[in-house]
Amino acid sequence: MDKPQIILHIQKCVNYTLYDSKWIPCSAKFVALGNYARGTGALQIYEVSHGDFKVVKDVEKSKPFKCGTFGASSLQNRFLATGDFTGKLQIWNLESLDLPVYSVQAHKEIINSIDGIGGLGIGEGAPEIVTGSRDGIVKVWDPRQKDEPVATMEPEEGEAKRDCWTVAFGDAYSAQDRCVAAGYDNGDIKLFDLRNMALRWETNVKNGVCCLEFDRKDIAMNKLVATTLESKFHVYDMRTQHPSKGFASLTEKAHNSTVWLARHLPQNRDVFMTLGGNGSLNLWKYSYPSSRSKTDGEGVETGVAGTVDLLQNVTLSTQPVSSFDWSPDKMGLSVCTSFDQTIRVIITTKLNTI
Amino acid sequence: MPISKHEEKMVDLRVQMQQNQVELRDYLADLDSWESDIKEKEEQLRTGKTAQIEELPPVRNTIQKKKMKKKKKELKDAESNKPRRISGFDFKAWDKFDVDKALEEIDKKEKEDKTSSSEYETDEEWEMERKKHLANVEKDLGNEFLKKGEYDKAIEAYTKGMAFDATNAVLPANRAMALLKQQKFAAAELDCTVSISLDPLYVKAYLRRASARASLGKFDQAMSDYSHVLGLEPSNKQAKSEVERLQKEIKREKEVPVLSTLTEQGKGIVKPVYKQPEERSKAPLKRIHIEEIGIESTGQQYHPDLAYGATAKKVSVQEQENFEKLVSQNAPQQAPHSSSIAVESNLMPTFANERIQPVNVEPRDLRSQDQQDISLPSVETRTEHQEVLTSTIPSNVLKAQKRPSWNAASNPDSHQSPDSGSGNNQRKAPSRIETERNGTSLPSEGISIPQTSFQFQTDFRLLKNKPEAFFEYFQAIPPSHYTKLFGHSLDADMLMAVLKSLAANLSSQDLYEILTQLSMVKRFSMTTMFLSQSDKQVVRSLMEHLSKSGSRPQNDILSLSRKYEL
Repeated sequence: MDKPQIILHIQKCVNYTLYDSKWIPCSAKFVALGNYARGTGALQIYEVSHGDFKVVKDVEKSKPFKCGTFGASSLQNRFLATGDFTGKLQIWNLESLDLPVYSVQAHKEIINSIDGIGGLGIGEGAPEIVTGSRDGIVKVWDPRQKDEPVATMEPEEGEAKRDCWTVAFGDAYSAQDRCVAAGYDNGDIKLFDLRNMALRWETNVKNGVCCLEFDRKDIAMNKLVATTLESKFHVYDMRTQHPSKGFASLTEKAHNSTVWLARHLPQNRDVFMTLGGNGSLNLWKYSYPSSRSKTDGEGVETGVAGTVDLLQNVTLSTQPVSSFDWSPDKMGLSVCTSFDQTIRVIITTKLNTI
Repeated sequence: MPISKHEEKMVDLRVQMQQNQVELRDYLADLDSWESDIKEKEEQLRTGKTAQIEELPPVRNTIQKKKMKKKKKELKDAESNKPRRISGFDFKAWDKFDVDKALEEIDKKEKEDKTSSSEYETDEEWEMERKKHLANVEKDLGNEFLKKGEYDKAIEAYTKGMAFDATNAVLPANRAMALLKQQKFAAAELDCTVSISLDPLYVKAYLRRASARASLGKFDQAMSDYSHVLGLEPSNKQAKSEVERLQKEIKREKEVPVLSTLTEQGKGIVKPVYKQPEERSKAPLKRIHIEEIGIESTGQQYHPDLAYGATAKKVSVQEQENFEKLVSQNAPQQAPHSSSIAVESNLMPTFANERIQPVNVEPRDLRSQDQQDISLPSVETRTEHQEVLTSTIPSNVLKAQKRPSWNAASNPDSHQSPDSGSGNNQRKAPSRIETERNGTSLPSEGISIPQTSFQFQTDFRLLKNKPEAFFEYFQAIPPSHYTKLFGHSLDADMLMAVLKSLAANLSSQDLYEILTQLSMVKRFSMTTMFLSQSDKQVVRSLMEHLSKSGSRPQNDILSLSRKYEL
């Protein structure tokens, strides 16, 4: 009976469409990004204190923001990298939001997804930002290099360009190793090895991939969660890659709706939250099998997938949840935005007892 | 009391709810303390400045770029038609880099998608970027012209580029190159200095400034530039060879100090610079036109033509009629003047064919109407194709007026003389137009009758070694001018030169008049005291000649010789 409880702590309505929210590392503050009805970008900073959260900063920029990350910034700076509707990648100093500290027209169309690594003490190697866009291209940026990406992944000429919905860093356990996973609207998942500059693995999950996330970015690839349309999500065991079969996986139905997001608990990599198109939050726990790999008939190792258990299920909104972020500093604290223009601060209890 | 299963469940649920409540309360209390903790931590982070800058790995794909590209091609999702960035150190790639093509591509791209304009956060940024781009376009244009040898156009292009982007060090350096080609060394030096101030490590600018300075003769500065280049690029061949060459140059400079000091002795005196034949400039010599200002007003030169065209014919008819009258009317006034002219025409072979006619004509043109009160008899003679043409130019009067000393003179003689003087000037004008421009002045033709003592002295210096020429020259001066002309400045040398030339050319000239007028020059007695015995001998011979000719009473000659301290 010691099930974790998901409790709505505070909620607030805003006057713009919310697309992303991120906790500012080492603080009780979070950033909300969105789109005003007049077509401008909203960037607000809230601070949580004593059962309430208040606006600390509120700026309006010319273009709507779609996504943001602190992943490539040092803990000292805590610069926010954002992707906007016009395909521009910008990095903001939250202390002075007048002008971005870095700005580049990264893509021709909207940047759907952004992820950062190498900052905040998470991930070895150079700070890098990866962006995935509707133009079908995935680009890796180094904030130290102006105007040009350090790596670009795009379909060869003649091939159809699929809308890239999600990107994620992983495998950054050494200064050289690094992987980028990208999910496309046609169900393609591609894993790019940035060390070898090669496509390491690809698969198709039949439904558009809404979200990809490694359970940890800064360790040798362990698990990858992919959420898709048609209320399904997949968990891949990334430890063992079979030359032909690839990675072992399990598939789970959830939410009775599109699974928009999956977010791993920073304090426990086997616990993750999935967020549905029906406004529901599902908390899952992954259980490893007794042996994570086995040798098949030809003597080649293949992975063995584990199982997932639903720990908790709550519905907070009638609209899809657009973003969810666990606080990296306080276990159980999270912020969640949904398309009903509401920001919610959520508390999940008893996570330490799982 | 046994409890039913249902009851047990209800109790459990109640307990659980209570537990959850406690859990949540605990969590919230914890959250509050965490909030204050994290705030403190954040403050520390902000103020602490624990800025331990870690050694970050290099930016991906900057060093092994080429290798990466190969691998990427094998990739299914390899980056394909993305323009690749060429590293600043990849010189091979830059050599192959086709600037024009790249520019065309950029232009094309700009037409295709206007989104590039939104790349910059502010309009200012974008404007700056645009100007920089334009500056580069101008630079390339300039380079093109430079290659073709169209230096003026190249300079123009670079100048435009500099207007667009004043921070680009390449533009002034390239303009300096074009200026060097045009041998505008000082301007080139200035441009190079600008370029160096923009980019103190720009080797080409130093090289160009050095060569400009070497050409300007600033060898020391050129040397320091070359040594700077060698500091930046120790293996720069051009700098090395130039340094050697310059050192030789400087050595040679030191070996021939006499030549260089010569030029410094007299200020304003230009002396030829000696150069070794191999050093001499290969550039063709340019003709430099020098116009004299002040001595003769330039206006004078076109007036003859004016008169020639419009009034010459009328004048030539009138002058014939007026001539006879004039001679009779003005005879007494004219006497000394016409006699001097007569002498002149006798003695000067070059003017042998001239007919000299004093003419009195009313001024005709508009200008002269302003000064109708001054209608002086004027003389105009002209030589052209051995033809004689005489006319009066009203502007003569003007000329006369411009010389206040002459104009103020009230005696008829001095009234006449300026006219005759200017008349002579007029006469010589057409030929002077040619001769003067060439920078040579023939003694007989080129030098006019002096109007000031300074002019006389200058001419005297020129002519004192040419007795014949000097005599001619002196003859042209009416004796009545002497007092004015020499003022206080008649020295023994000058006097002896005059007397000797007179002695050498004894003829029917009015020797007495000349000698008398000379003796009336101020401080004449002082001058005579400086005459040597041999000089006096010359004077004596002149006096003897006078007394022999008997044109003057003996008494006059005696008093004259007393004035010459005989």
